[in-house]
Order: sequence, then C-alpha cells, then structure tokens
Amino acid sequence: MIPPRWPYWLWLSALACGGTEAAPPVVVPILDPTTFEVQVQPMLVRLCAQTACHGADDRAFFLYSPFGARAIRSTDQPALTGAETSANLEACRRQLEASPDLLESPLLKRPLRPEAGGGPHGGGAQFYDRVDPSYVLFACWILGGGAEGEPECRP
Amino acid sequence: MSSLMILRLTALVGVLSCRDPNLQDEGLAPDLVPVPAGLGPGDPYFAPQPHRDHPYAIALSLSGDKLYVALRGNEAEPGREVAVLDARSLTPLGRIEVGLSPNHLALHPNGRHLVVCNRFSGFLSVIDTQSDQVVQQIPTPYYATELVFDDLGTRAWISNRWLDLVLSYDVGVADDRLQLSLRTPPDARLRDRLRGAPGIPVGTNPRALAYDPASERLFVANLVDLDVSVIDTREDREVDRDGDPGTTTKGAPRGVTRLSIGAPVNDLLVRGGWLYVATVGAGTGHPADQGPDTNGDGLPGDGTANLHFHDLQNELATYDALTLAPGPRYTSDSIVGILDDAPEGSPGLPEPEFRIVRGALPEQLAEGPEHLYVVTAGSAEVSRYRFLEAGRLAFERIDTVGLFPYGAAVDPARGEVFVANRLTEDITRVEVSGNSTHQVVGDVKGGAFPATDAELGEVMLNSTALYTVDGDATCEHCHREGGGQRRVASAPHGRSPFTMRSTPTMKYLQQQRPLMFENFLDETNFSPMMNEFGRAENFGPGMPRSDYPDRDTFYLAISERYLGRSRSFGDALPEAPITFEQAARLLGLALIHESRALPNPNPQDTFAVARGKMMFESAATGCANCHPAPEFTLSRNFNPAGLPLGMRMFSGAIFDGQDIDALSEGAKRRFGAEDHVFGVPTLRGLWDRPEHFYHDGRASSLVEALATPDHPALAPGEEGLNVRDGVFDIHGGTSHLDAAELADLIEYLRSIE
Repeated sequence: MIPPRWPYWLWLSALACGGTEAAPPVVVPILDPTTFEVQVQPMLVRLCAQTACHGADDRAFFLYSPFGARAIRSTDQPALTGAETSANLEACRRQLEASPDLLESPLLKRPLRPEAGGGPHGGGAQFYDRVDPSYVLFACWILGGGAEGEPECRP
Repeated sequence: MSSLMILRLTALVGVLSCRDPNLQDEGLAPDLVPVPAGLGPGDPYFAPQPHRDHPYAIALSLSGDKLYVALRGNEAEPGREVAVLDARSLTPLGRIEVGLSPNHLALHPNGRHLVVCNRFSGFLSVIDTQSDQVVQQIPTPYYATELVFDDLGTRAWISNRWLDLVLSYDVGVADDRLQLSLRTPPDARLRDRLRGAPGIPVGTNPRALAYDPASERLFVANLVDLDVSVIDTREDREVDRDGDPGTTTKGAPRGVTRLSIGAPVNDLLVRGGWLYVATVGAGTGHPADQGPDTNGDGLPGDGTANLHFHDLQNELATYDALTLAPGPRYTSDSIVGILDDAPEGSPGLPEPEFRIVRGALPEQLAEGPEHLYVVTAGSAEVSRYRFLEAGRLAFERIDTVGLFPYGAAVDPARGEVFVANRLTEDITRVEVSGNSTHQVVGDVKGGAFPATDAELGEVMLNSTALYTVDGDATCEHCHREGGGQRRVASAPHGRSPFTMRSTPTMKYLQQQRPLMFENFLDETNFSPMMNEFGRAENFGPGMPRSDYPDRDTFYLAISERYLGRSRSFGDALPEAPITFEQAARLLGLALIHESRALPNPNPQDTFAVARGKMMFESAATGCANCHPAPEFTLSRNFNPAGLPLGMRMFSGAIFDGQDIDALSEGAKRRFGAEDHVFGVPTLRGLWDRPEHFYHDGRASSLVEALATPDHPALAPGEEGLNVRDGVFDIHGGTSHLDAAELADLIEYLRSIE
C-alpha cells in the first residue's frame, strides 16, 4: 500500500511552473523507509559509501556501509542494522531539508554529470543524466513516488 | 501544459520537445542509422537485391484531387519521400522529401497541413498541401508511429513505438503554421518526464489510434500486446475497462484493465459510437487433442489450440465505445481444419451470420459515407462492408489489389478506395463498380516485383494466404511487422498437445540458424512451418481444395497467377519450379536475407549502460557465456567459443503429469531434434519486443526473466523466475545484484541493437 504523499509529478509540476517568478513550495519530503532499505540504500552504499568518500565519518553526508564505517563492532553482522539504516536515511533527509527545489538538491545534483547540469562533486559523476536509471530510482524516492518498484517509478 | 513548463522540462534534460517548429535542422536530433540487411556477399545465399520504395501509408487531400503516398522503404534501406499523385488520372506529380522512413500521414481537419510521422527521424514533417512543400519540422521522439487529430483539430495524439507511449498535444494554427504543445498527463512516468517526453504509458508497440468525439476517448492499439488502451482525453488518463481497482493488465498502471482483443490489434476505427477492431483470430477454443495423428506420436491432434494454424482467422471485432461492451465479432468465412466438417451449432463454430470476413490479415480500416473498407494484406485484397445499426456489418464485395497492401484512403464523394501496395510498388484505385486501376509509385528500376528469389520468398512470408488451403492465414498473423507477440501458441512439434511456445521474433535470423527454440529447423528445411498453412492431405478429390489434384499443382498455379511465373529465378537458390518444397526454401531465404532490425534509439554510452555491460560480461553473472556480443546468441554462424549449440535444460513445466517440453517422435525422427535441448535466442532488439520471455513465455518482463525470487528489483505482483527446483541463478547470476544494478543490466540489454 502506498502511503498518501505528494505524488512526484506534483513536485515536477511545481518545479516546471514555478520558474524564477514564484518561490517553489517548501514541502518536507516523505521518504519511504522500505524503498530506502530495499532499493536506494544498496545503491548508495555501492556508489557513495567508500571510506574515502561518504563512508568517512567526518563528512557532512556520511553513510554507514557493510564493509566500511559501522556503528557496531560485531564481525558477524554483515548487513546494516536497523539503526544504521535509519541513520543513513536521516543523512539523506538532512541533505534535502535545505533544498526546497529537490531536483536541485545536493543529493541529486552533485553526482550528476556536469554536462547534464550536475556537479561539482569530488567523487566524480555517478549519474550520466537525469534519465540514468539509478538517478530515476533515487529521484523517485526523493520526490515521493511509489514504493518498492512501483511501475511508474521503475527506472 | 504551459509553454513555460515545456521550456523548463526541456531545460532539465536538453533533449526532445515540441516547442520550436521551424525548418532549420539545428536542434533536431540526428536521424537513426539503419541496421544493414541480414546477409552479406560472403554468405552462399546472398544475392543483390533491387532497391524498393515500399509504398506504405496513403492519404487523400480534402478536395479529393491529390493523393499522398508515404514511401517508407524497408528497415535496411528506409525511404524519405512522399509521392504525390493526381487522384483522378493517377499521374505522378512529384515527390516531397520528408524525414527518414515516413510511416503515417495525418491530414489536419483544416485540410491544409498534412503531418508525416517519420520512424527514424526525431521530427514530424508538415506538408503544406497547397504548395506541396515541407513547411515545418516539429521535434518529437523517434518512432512516431501514428498521429490522430480530434474533429476540431485542436488536439492531437501520437503513438510512439520506442517509448510505448501516447504523446498528447494541444494544437493551434497561427500564421499558417501548426503549433503543437505537449501536455503532461498525470500518469506519465518520471523517466519520461525527465526525458522531456511525458506521455500516457500504453502497451507494447502502440500503432493505430482512433478518436471518438462523442465519448472524448482515444483508443490505442497495442499491436503485439493483443489489447487496446482506452484513454479519457479530458484527463489524458487510461480508463479501467472493468472498473475493478483490484485487477491490472500486465504492464498497465495499477488498477487498469485494458480492453483485451486476444490477438494482434492491427487497426481501429470509431464510427457512430462503435469501435471497430481489425484483428486476427483469438482461437476457437477447440479442444487441443482432437484430429488426426499426423506426426506419428500416437496421440490424436497435432495442432492443438491453433489447429495447424487453421484457426488463425481474420476478424472484425466491435465494441460500444462508451460502455466498452463487446458487440458482434465477425470472423472468417471459412474454417478449414477440424471445424470445417462440423455441423452448424457445434461448439466453437460461430453462427453463419458472423462468418463474413473475407481475405487474410485485416491490416487497415477506412470508412466511407456508408461503408467500411478493410485492407487484407495477406491476401492482397480490399473488402467493402456496409455499416448497419449497433456495430453490425454486412459484407458487400471484395477486390484484388497489389501484393501486401497497407494504407487505404477513401474518396467519399466518388466512393473510390485507394490502396498502397508494399511489395508490388504500386497503388490500386478501386471504383464503386469494382473496376480497378493500378499505378506504379515506387521503384521498379530493378525490375517489376518479384525480381529475385528473396523477393519470391517475401511473397511466401507476407502473402502466405495465397498459398494456403482456405486463404486465411499468413506468417504475419502472429509475427506482426516481423516481430513476436505477447502470446504463446501450441507447438506442432511438441509431444503433448499442451506444448506451448512463445512467438519468437522473425528478425536477425541470419545469425540464429538453426532456427526455433529447439535449434532444429534450417533455412533449407522450413517446410514444417509452411506445411501448417497448406497440408498436402487437404488437396485432391473430396478434400477442401478438390479443384487441384495435389498441393504442388496448386502452388504452381498460384505462383503463375499472382507472380506471373512458376519457376524461381535461380539467383540465390537453384532454379526450380515453385512447388511446395521450393516455396518453403524461398520462405527460409527471405527470413535470413533481411534482418528486419530496427535501429535502436536508446543511448549506448551512458554510465548505466557501461555498468550494465560490465555486469553482463562478468563471470559472476555469466550472461556473455551464452549470449556473446555482437550477436548475443550461439548459432551455426556465430559461436566464438565453440560451445554446443543446444543446451540441455530441465523439463520446463509439467501439466497434469505431462512433460510439455518434450518433442514429438516425428520431429525428432525427421530433424534430429532432441528433448529438452534449447538454443540461445538472440538478445538483439530486446528494446522493441513485447516483454514475454523464455521458450514458454512465462516471464512477463525482463525483470521477471532475470531476477531471482524476492529480488529487491521486483515490483509487487512480479515473480522472479531465475530459479528452478529451488536453485537460484540458473539463468545467469543475478541474486547478488541490487535493484539499481539489475536496472543497469537491463539498461544495457535495451541498448543492444
């Protein structure tokens, strides 16, 4: 069941119609935790959470990962714990709170290739363009699209 | 949609939009590069082929004095011209250069602007019918397939085969120029919005469109999904046919059930509140295990649900355009097979009043003031039916046109119908009286069609009905536009009457030899398939074709009648009389001579494609072991590692204790086929195929075909089928991939041309 939320197309409509004349609406995104855990977090761990990058705990956007920074010391827990997943989700939320225009938020814009309007990003471009399936998956979650691979959100 | 919104969306992605109609080529996406023909000079079956224009769509000017014919060409040699003719004298007036592979012509209700959909160009060409010049090139995504205006000319919709979308436009006319503004439907997929092409998601390979001004509904033919999307144009949103939010057609938005036709949907027409659908048979539903045992397996019946292809029929289905309730469904006038001897009233046998459809492969519909015209491509005919009340039709007459006709245009004032003929390079005008006039509009500089063995094979492939027992069936009935369909059909070579095989594409076959899922048919022995269209036992005294003493006599006579010759040319195959066996060889030749591959618009240089390619080639997934690039298959002609061509698999499915994948003794004896040995289908062209995979079609999407059970990439309702008897990863290793990685792998697969 999809929780009620701002559908992602409303975000896009607001963005498209807003232009520079009117301030875009400030809406706190509802970040579905299940979609994050099942689909988004594995991608972030793979693309972003290396210890030299966002897996370093002194970074503003810091992520736990199974083979990088951990909040636990146990060696028999390869998967991220619920607490670590919640912390990763909160890290994403903090990055979004400062961005009324979510498509222009650091989370979506910085890893985007400069030729597609993205950057700057010390870790280089991770998304080729805004049609990159990983970008779409990430954006769909951020914009409040369907959970767990809803067809309309599928990359 | 405001122009500002269009601008913003365009700025987001810097790609296609519909906001800048002018003739300058700057800003237009480059044309797609055609995929070369199948065989090269190095192949023993290669022979040079004459260039052809392949007349396709046709339109009549509002005044009825000029005809426009789109010269689409074929996939390897697409055309880029529209021929103009005087409609009275049929004198050619000239040609207009448009985009690459012009596919459809739509006249704006003002009569001034004729819009050309170009398959391989990223724009529509707008012809001013006063000057007969292209005056605008309006950007739109590649594979604009058909366009329809509403009655007032203020709205337009385009079916797009690449994106499986319908794009919705507001239309205006200013300074004698068409202005198209793209709307953003509420159910547009995020990716399509970001791409700058927000559209209404519909089924696979959307083609025909029909608009009903009364209900303000748009009907979309999903050619190979066997259904129709019904769109409420007030909201640009798909209508749920059954009103039950708990049911969803595969691939449709959640809760939407489409109008199921049960067979490929070739064309649509709305008139008087009724939707008319040109289609082929959904099957009789006749029990599969009846009939003669012709393959010696000891079981009755070899054809099963398609009765040796004989229940491939030709149908005109009707639906109330508002309630979507089915009306009369007319079918072929003949049913040769098991039912031909059945007494009236037998189960599965329609009442005589519904057995009125003449010809084979209803391809296109056109309407006159009182008549419905049906172009039947497989039998080279156009039929005329009178509209009656409540969707009912009455057959009036049928006329012969050129080979493999497609487009039709009706002059309502004179009651004439014009038909474009793809193979014979001409058009036919049929007058009310039935008098016909033919005029060449294409390219016959290399000789009149047919001029080569491969062209003879094209006749066997596309006009198969001419050579069948009752003139009803063609290869194209199931392999629409050379592709597959989202349907399984019973397999004559299976041991069980329940053996079903997915309908494979007929493209890229030059690198698929031996053919079929089981790797047992060759281009030189394609007779088993041809045999299903005209079995030898149906000829001779007391049989359906008692007018011929045997099958070969029939084949020779038909060739002489329609092709003007009864011997092959000898340029690719040894010259021989066109008997059944030679016709089967010619068919095989045609299958491998043209790849029929469509150029792939999906980008091949993105991060996702690169990541997906790495995964594809990795030992962890093992994809490239069996699907090595560049052919992505293993065949007699392409096998870089020298692997066995056939892979022995476990039995695919068991039904009531039967091994439905086992082959008949006849197939094994004659062709050396083995039980449970399957070849490797090519991955080329996946981007354009219906998502219907595995030999039995049980995977309904690429995700289902690749994902293991409970994979995070699976959407609700999807089933990961990369498993057998509890063992995961039997179809490549994917269980270790996360959702985005599997999306990358699929992105790579969809980038393959």
